[in-house]
Formats: sequence, C-alpha cells, structure tokens
Amino acid sequence: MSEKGGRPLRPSDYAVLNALRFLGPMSYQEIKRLTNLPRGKLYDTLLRLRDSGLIGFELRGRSKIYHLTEAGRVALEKGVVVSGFPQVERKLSTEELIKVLTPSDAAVIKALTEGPKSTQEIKEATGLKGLHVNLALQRLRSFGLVASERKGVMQYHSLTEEGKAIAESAVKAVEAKLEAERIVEGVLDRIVEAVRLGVSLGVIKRELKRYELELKERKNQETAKN
Amino acid sequence: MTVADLNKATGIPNHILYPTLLVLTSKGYVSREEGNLYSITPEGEAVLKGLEEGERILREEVIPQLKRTIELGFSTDYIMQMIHQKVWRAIGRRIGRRAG
Repeated sequence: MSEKGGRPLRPSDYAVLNALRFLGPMSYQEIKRLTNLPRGKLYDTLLRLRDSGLIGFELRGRSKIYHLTEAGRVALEKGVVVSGFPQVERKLSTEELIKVLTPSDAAVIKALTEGPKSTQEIKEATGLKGLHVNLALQRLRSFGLVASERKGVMQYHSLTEEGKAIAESAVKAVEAKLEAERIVEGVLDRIVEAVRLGVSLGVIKRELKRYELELKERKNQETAKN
Repeated sequence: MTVADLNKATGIPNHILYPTLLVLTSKGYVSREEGNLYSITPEGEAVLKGLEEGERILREEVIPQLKRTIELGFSTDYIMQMIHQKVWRAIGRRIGRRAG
C-alpha cells in the first residue's frame, strides 16, 4: 500500500539521488564508487528509488545507465517521496505484465486468488523465501494489484479489484514466459554450437519472423471467415 | 575462378567482391594464384562445411522448437532478445571455463 503523506528519504536515497543530480546519468559501478555504499545496500536503494519512480534507467549495451527523473528532483527538494510507490493508473496489458511481473509475483498473485493472506501464509503457500515474498508484495503494491493492511502484529494482503481482474491473465502470462524460457533453454546448446560454427543468429530471426507473419495472416483469415 | 567468373556466378558486384576476397585471402580461406585466379583453401572448405552444419542444426533442430514460443504469443523480437542474452551468457561461461 502506498504511504500516505510521503515517506522521508533515507541517507542512502540522498547519496544516490544527489550523485545523479550533480554528476548526471551514470552506471551502477560509478554510483557505487561515488557513494561508497555496500553492494547489497546500493542494490536495494536503486530498486526502491526505481519502484518509487525517482530514478529511471536506459540500457547501454549490457549495463544500465541510471538517471534522475522529475519526481526524483522534486523528492530531493522536499526531502520526501511524495507519492510513495507510483500507482498504475491504467490496466496493464498482458504484454506489459509479461515484461514487469516475475515468477515470484505470479506465485503471490496465485496464492492471493484464494483470499487475503498474511505474509507468513503467502510464504507457506508459495514456498518462496521471506525476502522474495516481501519484494514481490512491494512490486505488486506499486502496480496497484495488491493492498496490504496491518492487523495487530500481522500484515494481511489481498488482491485489489484490478488485481482480481488481471490475476488469471497475469499468472497465465508469467507461466507462458516460463514455458518460452524452458523451450529456449532446451535448444540453447544447439544454438551455441551453431554460433560456434560461424552461423549468425539472424537465420533464426528471419525464420521466426516469417512464421510470426504466417500465424498473423492465418488468424486474420480466420477472423474474416467468422 | 577469376573475379569476373565469381561476379557471374554470385551476382555480387565487383566493388563488393574485391574487399570480400581480400578479407577471405587474409584469413587464409581463399588463395590467389597466378593470373588472378582465386580458389578455396582446405581451411575455407572446413569453414564452409561448419557453416552448412550450423545452418542445418538451426533449421532442423532449433527453429521447429522455437516456433512453439511464437505460438505462445511472444514476438520474434522478444524471443531473440531472450536468445541473445542466454547465448552470450553461455558462451561467456564456456570461455570462462577454458580460461580457468
């Protein structure tokens, strides 16, 4: 659940945000060198700031180049994260869900489709470690799919209306992603062998593109018939 | 074969054939003999065979499997991105093992 009234920035947040504000976009390694934060702490900080929408990143080759967002600038001036985790204002499409939801997210959503659960109950239902459950819940709250409520010492989590609406497609999407990964993993050795023999991966791309178009055409023809 | 013959056989224009032959000769895949006759070397034959085998692997063993990912609703670009990541990571691991 997003924190009403905003949460104050932590010292590590200040360190990262100020580095990006005064020195411009930079990589993880550069931020680490400048802020001197331990690896684990820096990772958590970047994740938190990214989830809060205070920083963004662009992929340059294999490395992420982080930059300060407008919300990050405002947060630095006010000293608080005004909106907490950003709420997604529109329904996520299946394609978007595939990109943002992890298998842990899907497992948590699946567990919550049975009804509200405490963190411990989610841990037992999913078999995930506490840290992974907490991170998944944090992410799902930021997408507006899960709401959390404290009752005594326990925190209970449930799917929001939006969460309920997309639960099935979200789980299916992540399962499809896992299936696709399994297929690719299954032929990975053969692809590596072909690459080693000097063949370009463009061969695969051309063939798959052709097949993709073929499937699209077939679907269009079927819809036209109906 | 002369450049003119190659041009006729492949349809590749001369301004592309010349630099290509230069690269292939420097790599030892093609040899240049008297009278500007080019011929393939045993190394070149081996590379060609490797390429043919690699293409066969992709067409017969890999692509039919990967078509299933497209049927699952993923785009070619998404699958290629996944393949690139996994392949280079696997190649990196192999190089790492060899170096180690």
